[in-house]
Amino acid sequence: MAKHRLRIGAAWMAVLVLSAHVVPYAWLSGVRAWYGSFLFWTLFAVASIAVVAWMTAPWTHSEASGTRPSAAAGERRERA
Amino acid sequence: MSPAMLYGAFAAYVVVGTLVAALARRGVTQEVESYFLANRRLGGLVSALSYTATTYSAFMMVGLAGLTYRGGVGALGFELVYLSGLSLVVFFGPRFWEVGRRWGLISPAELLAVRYDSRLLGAVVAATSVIFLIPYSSVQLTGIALLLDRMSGGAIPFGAGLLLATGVAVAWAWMGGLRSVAWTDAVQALVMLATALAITASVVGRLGGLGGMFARLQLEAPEWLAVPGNGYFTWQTFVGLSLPWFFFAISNPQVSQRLFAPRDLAAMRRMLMGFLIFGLVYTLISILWGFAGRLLLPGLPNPDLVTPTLLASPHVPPALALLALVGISAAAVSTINSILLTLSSMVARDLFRPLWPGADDRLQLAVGKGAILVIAGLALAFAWTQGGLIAILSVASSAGLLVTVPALIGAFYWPRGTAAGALASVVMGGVVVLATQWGNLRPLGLWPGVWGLAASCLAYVVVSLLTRPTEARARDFVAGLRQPA
Repeated sequence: MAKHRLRIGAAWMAVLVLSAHVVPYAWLSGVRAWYGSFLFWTLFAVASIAVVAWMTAPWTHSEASGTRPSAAAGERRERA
Repeated sequence: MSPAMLYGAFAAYVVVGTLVAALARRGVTQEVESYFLANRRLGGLVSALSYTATTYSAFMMVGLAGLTYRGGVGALGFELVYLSGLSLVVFFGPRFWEVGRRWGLISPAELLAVRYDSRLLGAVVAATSVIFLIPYSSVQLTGIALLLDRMSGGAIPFGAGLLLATGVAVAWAWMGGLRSVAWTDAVQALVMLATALAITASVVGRLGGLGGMFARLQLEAPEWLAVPGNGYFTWQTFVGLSLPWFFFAISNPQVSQRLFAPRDLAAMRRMLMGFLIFGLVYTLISILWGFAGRLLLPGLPNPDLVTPTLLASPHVPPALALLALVGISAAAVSTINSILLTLSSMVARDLFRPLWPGADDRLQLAVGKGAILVIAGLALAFAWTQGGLIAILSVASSAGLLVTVPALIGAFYWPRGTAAGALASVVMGGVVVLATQWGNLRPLGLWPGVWGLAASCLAYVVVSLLTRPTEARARDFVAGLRQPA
């Protein structure tokens, strides 16, 4: 499920980033008003933020505390 | 505006910031983890504001506004690509965070040194970061110095502004390490946003509000509302600018080091989301400010002068102009002090420690603090030469740092990647960026960052396939990490 969420999010981001590089040059270069590239890129940013919010929704405190302290301490000693 | 008023406003800012830095330093010990990473205990809100203030610099209200003035709406597009690049933190943030704790890592260069089991690689990445971040630091100093010079009508000369800005940045980084930097950054982020909002609202209001301003733009400079528009933002230029920005969150060590510092991943998420929302608002404000400059002050010889000139003009009330000076200074100082801190941690951990393996935390810290002074001096010397357009210099720095991206991605996703491959990618990519940058070469119209990244990827893959990987460590990094999503 978690990997599924990451893959879908990554696919959406790829589409969004590609569109940010193509749409204003291919279809909006003749629209010389606020509702052209200015509006498109603003909506692109809002959509990107929404995708990141969705992808990181499972980042909660309980899941984050999964670092293995004993292993970490051992590895640090080893490096020192 | 009188120099006394400008000095007064700057002095008030320095006093408040120094108080915050002094309060924040309580509890900081002589251990490197405490000094450089605030004991890995930063909360979400402070992390978000500090990440924002570190990322957004004089580049925004001076450089990005200048680029808008010069080329139009394309500046908005490439800057917002930066925000989409934060999706990389979704993949790399938890990984940095976990390996940072497991191996006690302090800097991103150290992460690569551990993953590829090569101290030489760590040293080369640290040296590369210093080389490419000095121009970026210098443009922050230039931003403040230009402002003071212009707003005082030359009474506060460029050199004096440079010295003032350098002194403040060094002091706050020196005092309490990341805790002082993060708390002063947090306060400065709020100041940056509030002041930018106030001056932009004032100027846009004088142009008849947003509707009035866009109507005038359509009439007087319609090309500024489309790309390639007036011809500045060709597609190649856009990609040349946006590519380094997309990878900024993992390529620039002063921000990627912050992925080690949040207390947990919930705090990291708050950092990320807080930054993204703040970033969108601040970007829009900077672009609108640049558009307003285009309408009110057409024909300036240097686009970087649009903000200082606008602030010194009758279009902005003096009180607001003073506030803006403080806000833009805050943006610049909050970036350079973070860069100084990160680079000094790299000098201590990745350049000095391999040469002196027995060095304890106290000695590493002393070396790091010395490095803050030396790097600040180099940035000051670079700024004195007044290298070029602020936006272009900033992007050139990030283009150079792109060469660490293949090794970083491979560190977590390609077990076959080797130390020799990583080393070759950083060196080859760095040479290509420097050669194309200084030779002013644009093969196929593409910018140095594009060629540098291509050379870096190629060298990483080819040399890795020809050499033997360190399998156990590669397995730890690629498969041994727990991921929350």
